[in-house]
Amino acid sequence: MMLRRIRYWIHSAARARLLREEMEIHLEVKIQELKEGGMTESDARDAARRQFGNFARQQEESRETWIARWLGDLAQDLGFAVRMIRKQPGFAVIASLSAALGIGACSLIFGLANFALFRPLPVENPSRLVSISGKSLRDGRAGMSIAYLDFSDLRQAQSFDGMTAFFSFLPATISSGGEPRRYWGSLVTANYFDVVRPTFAIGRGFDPRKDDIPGESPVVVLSYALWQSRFSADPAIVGRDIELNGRKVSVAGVTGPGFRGTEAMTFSDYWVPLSMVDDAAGMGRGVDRLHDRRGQWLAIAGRLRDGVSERAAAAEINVIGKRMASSFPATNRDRAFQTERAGQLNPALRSMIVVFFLMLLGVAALVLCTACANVANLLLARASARQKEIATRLAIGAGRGRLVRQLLTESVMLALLGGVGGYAIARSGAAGIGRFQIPIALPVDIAVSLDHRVLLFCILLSTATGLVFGLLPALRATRPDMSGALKDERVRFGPSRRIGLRDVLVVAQIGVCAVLLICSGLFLRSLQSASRIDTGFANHNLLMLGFDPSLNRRSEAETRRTLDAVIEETSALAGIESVTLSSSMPLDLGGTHNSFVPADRTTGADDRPVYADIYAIAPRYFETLGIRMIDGEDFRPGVPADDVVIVNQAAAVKAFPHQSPVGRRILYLGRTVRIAGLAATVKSRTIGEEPRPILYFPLARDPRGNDSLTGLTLAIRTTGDPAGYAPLVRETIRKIDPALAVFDIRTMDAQISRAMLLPRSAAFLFGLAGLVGLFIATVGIYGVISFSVAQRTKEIGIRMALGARRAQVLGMVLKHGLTLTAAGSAIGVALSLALARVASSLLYGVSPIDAVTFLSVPPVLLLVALTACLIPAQRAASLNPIGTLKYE
Amino acid sequence: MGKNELLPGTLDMMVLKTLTRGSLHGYAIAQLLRQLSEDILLVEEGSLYPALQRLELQGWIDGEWGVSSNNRRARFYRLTAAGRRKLASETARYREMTGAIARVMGLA
Repeated sequence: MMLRRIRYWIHSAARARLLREEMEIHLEVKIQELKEGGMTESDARDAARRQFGNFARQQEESRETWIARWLGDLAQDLGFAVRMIRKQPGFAVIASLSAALGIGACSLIFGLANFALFRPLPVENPSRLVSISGKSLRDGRAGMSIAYLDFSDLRQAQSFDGMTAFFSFLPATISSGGEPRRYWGSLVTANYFDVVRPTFAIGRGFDPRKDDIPGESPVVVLSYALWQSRFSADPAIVGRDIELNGRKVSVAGVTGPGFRGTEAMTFSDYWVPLSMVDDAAGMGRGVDRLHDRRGQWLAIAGRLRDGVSERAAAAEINVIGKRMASSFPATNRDRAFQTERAGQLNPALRSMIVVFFLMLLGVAALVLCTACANVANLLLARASARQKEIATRLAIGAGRGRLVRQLLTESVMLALLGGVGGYAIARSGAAGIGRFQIPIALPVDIAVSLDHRVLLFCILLSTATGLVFGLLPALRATRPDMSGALKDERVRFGPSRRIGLRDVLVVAQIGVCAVLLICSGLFLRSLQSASRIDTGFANHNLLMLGFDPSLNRRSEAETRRTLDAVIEETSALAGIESVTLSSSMPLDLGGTHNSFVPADRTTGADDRPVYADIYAIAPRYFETLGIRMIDGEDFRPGVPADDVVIVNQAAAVKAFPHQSPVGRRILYLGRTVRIAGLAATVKSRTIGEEPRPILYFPLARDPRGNDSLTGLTLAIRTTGDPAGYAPLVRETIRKIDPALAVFDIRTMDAQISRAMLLPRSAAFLFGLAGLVGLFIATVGIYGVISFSVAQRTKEIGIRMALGARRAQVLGMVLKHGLTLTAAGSAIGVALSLALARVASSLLYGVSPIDAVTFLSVPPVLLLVALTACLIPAQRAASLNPIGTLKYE
Repeated sequence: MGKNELLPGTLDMMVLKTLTRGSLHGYAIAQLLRQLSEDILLVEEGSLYPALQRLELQGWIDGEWGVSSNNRRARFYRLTAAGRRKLASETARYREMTGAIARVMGLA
């Protein structure tokens, strides 16, 4: 029927035309017949019209049957809903505010997930662009980089129109248009823009015929953002030279707004062609980057040929990979390739992020559920207050369906109001996240924007929310067996033996609230224990500044001189205790990671490689950071005579169990290296990590910082507030080399608090959710208890008239509230016990069934419930028995 | 309610009843109603059309364009199975109602 109505509505113009024709035929036949009966033409016409009635009105009425009635009802319902909302604005505010909190939370999480997982790339036909990455068959690691020669083989695949390789973590100093600054960009094969096909604001991409050849005149493509911020959107920039890494590079074009590369969450501010490979810092040094399959450093994107499915392309890539594995067993034996839609997160990262989002979404959904239960409860309370009105309307013949529809319109409207608020909450949340600094020195883009999908999600969720929280109360209110509802209030004795729907809702609400509070308790405890974790170094009075001498294409001797000068001149500044350099600092997150083999291990023939974080450090590193040397000695100034390394305790335990490592040798990148010292283990990447092996190489032997992409960090131990020294140190470096860009100036205290991002944001999010849940549950329990007091006014009056004391009445009401709370808490605790295991991987040093948390949440809930019940209980106890009985 | 006007809701029932004789076009239905009621029930012939639309929307009748006996284009209406059921229940309800009214009026 609904379907037919919609169909009629859609075809209403055609139907109206046919109906008119039908009616005209009727009239004609009639006139014909009357004429045959002997009437004149005009008499017959008049008579026919008279008998037919008002032509236009009949037509209008027919059309109404399929359009207007429906629309009219809707308009009526909307008007009614608006009137109801205006009549009780307080109710509307509480209901839509509850809904807004829940909807806002869900929309924000969806927005984040949408941004991280589903956002299409701003390129032509993004669904035809796939990315290809390496996959280890040995340990299943995915999303690995690919060697240039491997790329050349993969490029032969017939399934693609074009295939490009790129490296997207390329730092460079740009000195034109202001003070030298480091930017992140990509080194790409010259066909990159022909394959990826982003829009261009001005200019063009590279010339594939020459820009891949080393030594060709250097060119660069700028991102829209860089062009705007650094070159003030200069329209004449194409063809001009800018200074990049101390070299004149001609600008070929500027990409359209929004395009920042094909990798999700990382961004490029510029692109240079492969001909400039020698300008590229780090990455695979010691290995010929273009002619050795061991140098795996590239990511690949390919554009599918028309008519070729993603699957077929993956199959072809797989075949080529197998052929490579048999032709080059030394490098490719355990290597496979996998294809997927471009612009997605690295598969390894993705599954982690999906789990993370699902967890967040679960929390947000819980908040939304309590909000729904709350509004449903408020609506139920109001429905019983309106029982008489509704019963009257049913009695005089209103259809139940019609009434339900009317009530639902109202609740959907409330929810949509909530949705508006929710969208606002999500927007400001997203803006807040966009400003967040994540503790990583790589170009990671989290400037979340909400697109139309989030808006749609918000609208759909609001509507669904309105239907969900409105349906039960609406059905309840219009139950046809309303015997007695028309009579005035019934006298009911005792809390009705039957457990009411409203009670069930409140119990559920308190249960969810308990779960949220327990989670926030766990994360707060985890934060507490994380802040007590011993990092292994002294974090106060430590200043760090980043700079990258490898970017300006200085010779090794020049670099060495610069580094020496930097250490010497900063050491000479007043108030500075000790200065050192390192390729990476503790808790940097990024950094080099590689394997070594113990060379002369005496026990066991096991020569499995040990994976370690690689640091290249200057002398006095351990002194400056306050790390204990256990054995051996620190590097001395100057270039060490032989290849030496300092290992940390964790590496020593793994490589040489039960032996002193100092003096022993390891094999690293084909070199034999002597262990000169043993240092205490410190936190290397994250605050919650298990002890990680570390190899500290002397920076002097490798002044470029051991391939570090993030440059070098100058670490300074100061006597006073470290941040105050930054301008002075910066000025000192500028005097030594004005072309050096200084970046990432931070104190170690700030670094640590950034490293606590995960425990802190989890504690914050859950804490917020817990508070919102508690607020909503408090409102819920207050509503239920005061409503039940209102309903039992007469009963309470009779009790008091018969001699019940105030305290007894008070106790009776409180008992009702506390019973509900106790039941809810019990359910919540049981649920949390089951759920806590999931969260255990995110907790530091706290058991997921932490007794303190689990034992403290129920009393808190009971206390809050007691407070919420006290007002209605007191109202009940101070009733005047005579007054209640006289009413009516 | 003017003289000889229809009781509300009865027009639909009577239209359904006329269609038990087979598929008819609007004009024929009007003629039939007039003949069967022996000119007592005065139906504005035009009001037949909203009724037909209503019935069709409910799925009780089906309309289809065809050619009438005097070679004119006309829309023929046919009773559906649902329409037949509706007619039966309406007839029963009507019988009950008129019986009750008759008893109250002391006619039965």
